[in-house]
Amino acid sequence: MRVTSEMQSNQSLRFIQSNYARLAQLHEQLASGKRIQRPSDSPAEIVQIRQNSAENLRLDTHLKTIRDVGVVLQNSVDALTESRGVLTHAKDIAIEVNSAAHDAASDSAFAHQIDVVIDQMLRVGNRQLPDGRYLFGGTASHAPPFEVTAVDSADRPTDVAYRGSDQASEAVVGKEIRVGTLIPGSEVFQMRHRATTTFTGTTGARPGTGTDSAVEPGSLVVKHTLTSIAGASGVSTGTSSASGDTIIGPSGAHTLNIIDTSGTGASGTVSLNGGPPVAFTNSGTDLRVTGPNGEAVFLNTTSITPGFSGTVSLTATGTMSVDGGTTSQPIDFSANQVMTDGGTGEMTNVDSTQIRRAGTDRLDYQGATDAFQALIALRDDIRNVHGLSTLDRSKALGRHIAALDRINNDVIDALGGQSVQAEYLTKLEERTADVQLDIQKATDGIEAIDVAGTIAAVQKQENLYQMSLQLTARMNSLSLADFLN
Amino acid sequence: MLKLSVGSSALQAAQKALEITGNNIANASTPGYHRQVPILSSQPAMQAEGFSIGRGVELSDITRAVNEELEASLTQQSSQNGSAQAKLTVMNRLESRWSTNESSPIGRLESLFNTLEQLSTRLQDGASRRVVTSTASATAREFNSLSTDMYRMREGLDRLIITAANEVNPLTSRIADLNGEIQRLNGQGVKPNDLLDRRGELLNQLAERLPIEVHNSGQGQLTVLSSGFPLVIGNKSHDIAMSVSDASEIAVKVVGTDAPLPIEGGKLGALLEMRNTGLKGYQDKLNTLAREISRTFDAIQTTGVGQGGGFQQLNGQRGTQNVLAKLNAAGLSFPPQAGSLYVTMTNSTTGERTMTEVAIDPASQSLSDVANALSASVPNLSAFVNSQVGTLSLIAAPGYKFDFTGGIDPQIATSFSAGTTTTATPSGTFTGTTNDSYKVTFLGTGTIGVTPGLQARVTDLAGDAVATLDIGQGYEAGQPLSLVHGAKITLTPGTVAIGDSFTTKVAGQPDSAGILTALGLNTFFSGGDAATMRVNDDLLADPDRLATSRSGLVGDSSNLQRMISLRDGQSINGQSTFTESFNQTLGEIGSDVSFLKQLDETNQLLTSRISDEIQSVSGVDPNEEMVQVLKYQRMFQMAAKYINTVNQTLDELLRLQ
Repeated sequence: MRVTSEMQSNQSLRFIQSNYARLAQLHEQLASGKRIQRPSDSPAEIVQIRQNSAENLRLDTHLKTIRDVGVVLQNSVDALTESRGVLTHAKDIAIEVNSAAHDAASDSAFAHQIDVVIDQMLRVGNRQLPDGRYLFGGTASHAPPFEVTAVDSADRPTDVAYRGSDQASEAVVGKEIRVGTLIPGSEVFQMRHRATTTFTGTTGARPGTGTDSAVEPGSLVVKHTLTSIAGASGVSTGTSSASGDTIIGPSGAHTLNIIDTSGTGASGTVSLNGGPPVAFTNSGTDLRVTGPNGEAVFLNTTSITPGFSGTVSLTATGTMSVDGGTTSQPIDFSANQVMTDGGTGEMTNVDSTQIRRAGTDRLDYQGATDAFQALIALRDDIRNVHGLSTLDRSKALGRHIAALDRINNDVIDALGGQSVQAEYLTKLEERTADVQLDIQKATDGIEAIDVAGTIAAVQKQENLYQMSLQLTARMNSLSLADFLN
Repeated sequence: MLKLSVGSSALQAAQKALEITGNNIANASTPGYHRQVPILSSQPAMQAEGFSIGRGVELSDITRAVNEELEASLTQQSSQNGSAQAKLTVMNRLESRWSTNESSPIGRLESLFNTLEQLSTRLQDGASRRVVTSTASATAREFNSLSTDMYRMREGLDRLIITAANEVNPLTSRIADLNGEIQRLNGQGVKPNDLLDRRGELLNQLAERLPIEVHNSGQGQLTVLSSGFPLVIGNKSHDIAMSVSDASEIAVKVVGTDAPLPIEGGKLGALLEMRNTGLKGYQDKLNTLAREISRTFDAIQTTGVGQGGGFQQLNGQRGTQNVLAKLNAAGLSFPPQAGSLYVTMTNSTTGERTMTEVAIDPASQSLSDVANALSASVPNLSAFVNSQVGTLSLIAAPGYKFDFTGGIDPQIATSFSAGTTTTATPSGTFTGTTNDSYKVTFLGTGTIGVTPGLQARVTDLAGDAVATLDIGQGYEAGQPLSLVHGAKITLTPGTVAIGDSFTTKVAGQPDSAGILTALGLNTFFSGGDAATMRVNDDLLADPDRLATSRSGLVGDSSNLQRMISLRDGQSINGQSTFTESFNQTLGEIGSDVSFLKQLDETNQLLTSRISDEIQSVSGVDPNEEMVQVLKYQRMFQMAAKYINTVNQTLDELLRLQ
C-alpha cells in the first residue's frame, strides 16, 4: 500500500483530536467528580440517577413532614397526659366526697373544684398548636371543637357540645404512608361503651332487652292510672284511688286480704300485700291501705259482702314517661317496652314486667356519657341538685367514679395511639434517613468517578497526547528533498 | 544521419513529465485531487536501409490514478456522514436542553409534589399554599420554556433544510455543466482529469447533503439520481425546492413535480427526519406529559374545594370554538366523554345539601345544551354561556353555594310501608372511586335497637350485596352504621317492616364526563399543551382555592392526598408515572445521542479508511514525486547531452570541408 504524507497528516490529526477529546472528557469528570455528565454518557444509568435524585428530594420532604407531624403528636400526647391528670383529680375529689359525709359548704367547695376541672378539660379539649390549629377538632381544626352550649344560673356549664369533625386530619409522611395528626375529640372524650342502663328507684322498672340510645342521665316517671278489684268481696276503689293509688301491676300482682270480723260487712280489717291490717267500716269510701313497701290503695268498704274473709286480686294500670311526662305510654308489663323521649327522640328500653309502684326512677345510661357530661353530673351530684338520698347519691357518685375511670381509659387508649404513632414516626424518620443514605450511596456508585483511577487515566491520556503531538512534529522531518543538492 | 529530433522529443517529453510531476506536487494537499501519471511512449520507428530506427519518445497519455469503486464508496459514505452529523447536531442540542435537572419541567413537578406533601402537615398555612401555586407556576413555565425551545429548534431546522436544499441546486447545476465540458473534451480526445476531479468532489459534496446514485452514461457523462428521481441527466440538472404539507410537515420536491422526494439519508434527509419525525416525536411526548399532568390535576382540583368551601360563581377558562357545536367536535383541548356531573348545592344558612346528577353526552350536547341542562336540573343554579369566548359560567342563587365534590347524597329515596317508622340519614366521607347507589333493604320486621337478630342488607347498583347491617338488639339507634367505602347511615329509633328499603347515591367520580376539566371550571391549570400550560389565574391569585379537601374543612386533606397520589400513579398510558415518562424520554434521547456518536465515530473511521485507500491510489507522495522529478531531470539532461553530442558530431562533419 502506498503511503502518502497526506495520509499521515490526516491520521496524526485524527489521533491528536481523539486523544485531546478523551483528555477533555477526563478533565471534565475529574473537575465535576461525576462520571456521567449527560444522558448520552450512559442512557440507562441517567434514568436511575434522575429517579434517585428525585427520590432523594422527596425523602427530604418526608423527613420534614415527619418532624412537623412529630411536633403535632407531641403536643397531642402532652394534652392527653394533662387530661389524664385532670380526670384523675376529678376522680380523687369524687372518692373523697363519697368516702365520708361532708357538710354543705364542703360539698360546695368540692363541686367548685369540679367546676375548675371542667374548665381545665375544656381548655385541654380546645388546645391549640402554635400555628392556631386545634388539636382535637379533627379535620375541623380551625375552630374550638368543644363549646359550652348551656349554663346554669351561676354561669356554670351544664352542657358541652362537640363541634369538631369525626374525621382525623391526615398528613403524608412517606410514599403511601399517612398518619392521623389532629384526632377528633369525639374519639377521645366522647367514646361510647354503652352498658346496661341503671334504674335507681322503687317502681320495679328494670332495663329492657333493647339497646338504649339516650345518653344523659334522666328519669323514668311511673304513674298510676286505674285500679280494678276482682272477686265478690264487695270492696271497690275509693274516691282517691285514681289519683292516690301507687300500686301498679297486673292481676294478682297486688292482693287485698279482707276479714269481715263483724260477719255483716259492717267492720273488719283489710291489708295490702300482707302489709299491716287496716280496720274498715261500712261507712269508709276512701280508706287508704298501704302495703309493706309503702305502696298504697284507696278503697270503698261500704259494701263488703257480709262474712267475707279472703284474698282479692288487684289490677292496677299505669303509664311511664322518660321526658318528664311530656309524653307517656301505658305500662304493658312486657319484658321490653320502648320509651321515646318526645324532645330528643332518644330511646330507653324498659322491662316493665316488675313495675309495682308509681314513682320516679333515676336513669343512668352507663358508658354513654362523655367526659364533660360525667364531670357535670358529678358536680351536680356533689351539690345534690337532684335531692338524692344519701344512699342514692353515694351510688350515683360511685357511677360517676366508674365513668371517670372509663373516660380515663379512653384517654389512655388515645394517648397510647398517639404515642405509638410518635414512636412509629421516630422509626420512620430513622428508616427514611437510612433509605436516603442508601439512595445517595447508590447514586454515588453510579455517577461518581473513581478519583485515583481517573487521575491515572488522565496521566496516561496526557502521555498519549504528548506522544501524538511529538510524532506529528517529527512526521515530515525526513524527506528526499533534504538530501538533494 | 543523426537526428536532433530524437533528442528534441526526449527534451519535450521530459519537460512535460516534469510539469505533470510538478502539478502533482503542487496539488499534494488539494482535496479531491487525483495523482496524474505521465505515460511516455516511443515514437514509431522509421524504416531505413533495412533497419527500423526509433524516432524518439513522446508523451502518449496522462493517466489519472483512480479506483472507481473506492470513489463510489466514499460518495456513499459521504451521505451517511452527512446524515449522522446532522442528526447528532440536533440531538446534542436536544439532549442539553432536556437534561437540566432541577430546572427541568419534571424537576419542577417533583418540587410541586414535595410542596404538596409538605402542605399536608400545615393545611391552614396560606404561605405554604402560595408556595404550592408558585411552584406549580414554575412547573408550567418550564414546560412552556422547553416547548418554546423545541419549537425554535424546529424553526431552526426549517432554516437549515432551506439552506441545505439551496446548496443542492448549485451543486447539481455545476455537475451538469461539468458533464457537458467533460463530454466536449472527451470528444476532442482530451482527458479532462481536473474536471473529473472537480466533478468527483462535487458529487461527494452533493452526497453529503442527500443520498445519490451515480450512473455512467458514456462519454464521461454521469446521471445522478436521488431516491429514484434524476437530479442530473447529462448536462441538464433539476432543481429541488422545499414545500410545507397540510400537516405542517416539510418535504422536498423536484421543481415541476408534485410528489415529495422520499429522502432518506444525507444531511437533508436527516434534517427532514428530525424535523418531521424525531423532534416532533419528542414534542408530542412533552405535550402528552403536559396534557396528562393538566388533565389529572384538573380532575382532582375541580372535584374538591378550597378553604372557602363551595362557590357562588365560577367562570370557565377553556372555551369552545362554537357554543352550538356538539362538545365532541367543539375544538376543546380536553374533550369530555359521556358520563355524569354531580352538582351539590349548599344552603349557606341551614347547611342543607342537595346533590343532583346531570347527564353529559358530548355526542349530542353542545355547550349551550349543557348550560340549559344545568340550569334546568340543578335547583338554585344558573348556567350562562359566553358566546364570544365560548366559555361557561355558573352562578348560585343568593344564599347558596355549589361544588362538585360528590360523596354521599344527603337525600335518600325511601320505599317504606306504614310499618316502617325509622328514618335514615346518610353520613360519613365516601372514599370510593366510582359512582354507585346503595340500597338498604330490611330483612325482618321489628324495632330498631330492640328486636334480636334484626338485619338489613346493603346492595350496590349491580345488585351485589356489599354489607349486612345489624340494626336490632345491640345497635344503638342514632349511631352511624358503616355501609362501604366510608359511607355511613344512621337510623333513628323506630320500627322497620320486612322488604322495605331506602337508597342512597354515592359519587366517587363526581365528574365522570370530565366536563369541568374540558370547560376549565375551577381547574388547576389552564391551557391545553406544554406551550400554553399555566396555572389557573384564579388559583394563582387566591391560593386558598387550592382544593385540598372535599368537605371544605381546613384540616381535611382528602383531596390533597389524591393530588399527591398522582406522583406515583401510572398516569401515562397506564404504564408510567410522570417522572418515569420524562426520564424514559430523557433516556431515549441519551440513547439516540449515544448511538449517533458511535455512528459518527464509525463513519469517521470508515471515511478515514476509505480516504486512506483512495490516498493510497490517488494521493501524491512528495518523495515519490521528487524521484520522478529527478528521473525526468536526468532524462532532460541526457537528452540535452545527446543533442549536444549530435551537434558536435555534425560540427566535425562540417569541419571536413
